[in-house]
Amino acid sequence: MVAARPERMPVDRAPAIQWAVFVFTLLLVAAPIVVIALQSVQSAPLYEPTRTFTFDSYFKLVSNLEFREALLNSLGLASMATVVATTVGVCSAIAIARFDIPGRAWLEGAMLGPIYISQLVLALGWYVLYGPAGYVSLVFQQWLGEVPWNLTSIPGMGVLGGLAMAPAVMLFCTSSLSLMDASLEDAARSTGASPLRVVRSITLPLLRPAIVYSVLLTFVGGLEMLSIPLVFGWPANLEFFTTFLLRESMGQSEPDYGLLGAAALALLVAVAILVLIQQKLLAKRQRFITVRGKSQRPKPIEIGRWRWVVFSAFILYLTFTVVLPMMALTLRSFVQYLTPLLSPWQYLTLGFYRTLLEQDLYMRSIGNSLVLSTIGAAFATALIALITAVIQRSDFRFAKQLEMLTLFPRAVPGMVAGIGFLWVVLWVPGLGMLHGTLAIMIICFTMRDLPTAYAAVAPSFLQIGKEIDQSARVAGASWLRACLSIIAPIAKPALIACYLLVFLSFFKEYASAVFLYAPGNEIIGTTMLNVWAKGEVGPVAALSVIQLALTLVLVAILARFGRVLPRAVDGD
Amino acid sequence: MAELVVRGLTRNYGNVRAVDDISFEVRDGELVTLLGPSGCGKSTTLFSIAGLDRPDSGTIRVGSITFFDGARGIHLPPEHRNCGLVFQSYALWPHMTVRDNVAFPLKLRKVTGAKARDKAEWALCLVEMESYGSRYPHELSGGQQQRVALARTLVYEPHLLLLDEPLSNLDAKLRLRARGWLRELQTRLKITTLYVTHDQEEALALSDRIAVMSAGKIVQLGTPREIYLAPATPFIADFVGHSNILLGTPMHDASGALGVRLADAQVLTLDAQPAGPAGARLQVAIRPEHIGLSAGRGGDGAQNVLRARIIQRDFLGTRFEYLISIGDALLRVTRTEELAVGEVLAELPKRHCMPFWEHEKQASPN
Repeated sequence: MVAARPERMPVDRAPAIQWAVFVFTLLLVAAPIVVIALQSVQSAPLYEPTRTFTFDSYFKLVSNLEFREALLNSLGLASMATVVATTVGVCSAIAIARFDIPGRAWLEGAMLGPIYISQLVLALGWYVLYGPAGYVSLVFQQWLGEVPWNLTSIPGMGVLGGLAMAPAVMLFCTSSLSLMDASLEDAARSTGASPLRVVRSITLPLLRPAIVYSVLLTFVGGLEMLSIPLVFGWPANLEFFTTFLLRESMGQSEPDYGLLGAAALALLVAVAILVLIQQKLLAKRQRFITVRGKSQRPKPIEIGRWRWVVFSAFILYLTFTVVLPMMALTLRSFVQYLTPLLSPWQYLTLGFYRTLLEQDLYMRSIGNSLVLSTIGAAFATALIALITAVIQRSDFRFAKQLEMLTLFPRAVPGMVAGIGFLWVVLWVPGLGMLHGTLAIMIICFTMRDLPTAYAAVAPSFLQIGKEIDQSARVAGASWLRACLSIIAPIAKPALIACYLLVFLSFFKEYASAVFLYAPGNEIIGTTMLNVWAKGEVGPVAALSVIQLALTLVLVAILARFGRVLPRAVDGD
Repeated sequence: MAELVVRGLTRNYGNVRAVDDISFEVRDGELVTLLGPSGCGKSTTLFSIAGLDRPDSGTIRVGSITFFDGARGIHLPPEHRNCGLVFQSYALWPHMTVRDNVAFPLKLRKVTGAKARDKAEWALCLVEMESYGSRYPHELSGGQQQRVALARTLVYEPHLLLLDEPLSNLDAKLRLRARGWLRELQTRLKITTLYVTHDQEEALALSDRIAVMSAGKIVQLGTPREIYLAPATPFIADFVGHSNILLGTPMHDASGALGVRLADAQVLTLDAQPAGPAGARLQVAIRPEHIGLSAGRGGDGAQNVLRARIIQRDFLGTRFEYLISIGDALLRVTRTEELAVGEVLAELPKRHCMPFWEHEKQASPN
């Protein structure tokens, strides 16, 4: 005989756990922003005992000439990048999803692949090939007497920014296209429309919401971009929103905290407004998606000989934007000099890798990155699993609010998060011990990746029928037990995928880490930035290669966990 | 084992009152069915008892344990109620084998080792699934999954067994078998059971008592025989037994017996007196299988022979289903004999005519 449950009034611990998750998430998301907002309206740093409420910092910011220039430059870069990324992303998404191009599946993977590569590594690769003293640039210099492009200009950097964000746009349009009812296009064909006409009159109009969304996505990405402004803009003395933040906080021994807070908050508000518009558009998107849930695979439109033309275009594009730059970066890590004037074979060296092995800084950075990503991804995955369980698997009263909180970090640029968490540990009593530790980086990165991780986990939690955990509850399992023993094992593939995704993201992160690392706790991203700033290209290239190699391995594993994944990634 | 007592249970969803102040009891070892169309509140009631839904007011008590008391703010979480709930979809945990599914509730109760193994084996034997222990749920047929789901709830000997349309996902033949088997098992274990279904045949065959629900209320509670033979309202007559409803004005014939004058002036005499206060009009319910049809003249002894017309005839194998009209009323009739479409005489025997006064609101539960 199985013993009956005790008769005394049992305590249900579920609400306590759910509240704890809610409060923790609230603190995680809100703390850095509140500190920044608070600092921006104070006359002195928050640690000073005497300070007054003032809007001075905002006036100072608006009248700051450097800031105004940086703002204009950032807007210019973002606009240009938006045009390029949207054009490339939308065109390639339609071509791959709808035309009978040879090797479509393979091309799709290759085009989306750069999503996993750090933008910093991409930028470095481009710099090595197409920068002012880049290999290809010098080749053209020899032929024509001058370089026909100037990538250290706002338009030039805009183009590069666009190329860096094109995969994200393509990803979004591709998923939108796969939801579209292919019979709409077939119907147009059968009434006599040519393939191009179908694209122009049916596909593009139906894709409009996705395109508008992509425009906002890339504009936001352009505003908060650090990699290209740093690699290409810094040498040319071009100041951007993000480099302004970096210089204001790092350059001076005593930064103007109020000014910094005001600038960071301005960036946050601008991005938040754009993200809000995005979400409004996304909510309406459902109306444009014709028939949902049909699993018929749309038949590609036959475009005859053009298929080879389009195929070649893709190959050329991939060669010059991804393959060659990454190869050049790899080669650069093995040679003393990389220039068309000298044969690289004479200068082959393993010296940079030896440097990595010998110098403490590098080994420490790699080790720290690995530790941080391994532990951090586990922490983030566990947290997001709990959050998702509360949002979707409980009757918690503020589930909707918790979901909004979880998605909010999409509006928080990495650098703003970095500054915010730095100030939190510096100025919130009792948190000082976190300063300059891997722990605070993990916390900051986790906050940044909440939306991505949620997007990776939520669909599979949602797919599980309500009665699956209800039956566990009735059978005697507490809420937490039902989540741990029933929901989590069923959603295991998604949780593993989420772990790998977060690992990759942590492994390539640099923008927010710039503010949070301390000597001894460098990670690959921050070391790459620092060493690059000192002008040492070789070790940076070698570090990039190591990051790339590990990323490739993990992406290969990730690919096994399937379709849920790329949809969750959202650019850099 | 214990009895279930529900008092004044009410559940609102926004402005909709899904469950409206219902009270009923399930005695120790009894099987009571909540029967009603979809949206009548029967599943909400069941889920409230299981603790998966929180009612707005009322009380739910099993034996000496109060599950829910709106006034005192008591709402026992589902895991502390020791109920067994079999879902319509069975809700077997897909990542566990049959044996693990059945053993999980034991694990939660800290029953381990040989004792747990024996217990799980006992439950699987009970449902004749002992040879499927190492299979996964997706490797089982619907009927087998249903039995595992039952074993999973019986294994911990719950105070109360709750069944949410457990047979509705089975095909017709299997459903019939599972029904008999379920009844046999319930009688053998003498477990207090609340069964929810919209299938009147299932309810009639399985239940000790049936509570017919409509729009959040229990409209009649009684044995299957009472519900079938003496429905309290035309709705119940229609829902349990698919009765036809004829409408007319009351009148008395020469001998003083009550009758109904239909719209086309034909008269139906009755031998039953409708319950409740008299209204201006009478409704008469009669089941499809109780109406006789004949092409020629009715026999002399026949009562209530009316002129009718066959509008449609469907051949259903063992019988014919006719759609006939009497005046402007349409009735369904099932007969074994074959008749041509056209004029016909319909016999509505007095003893099968169930009269009701027409009222705006439904009769209250008895």
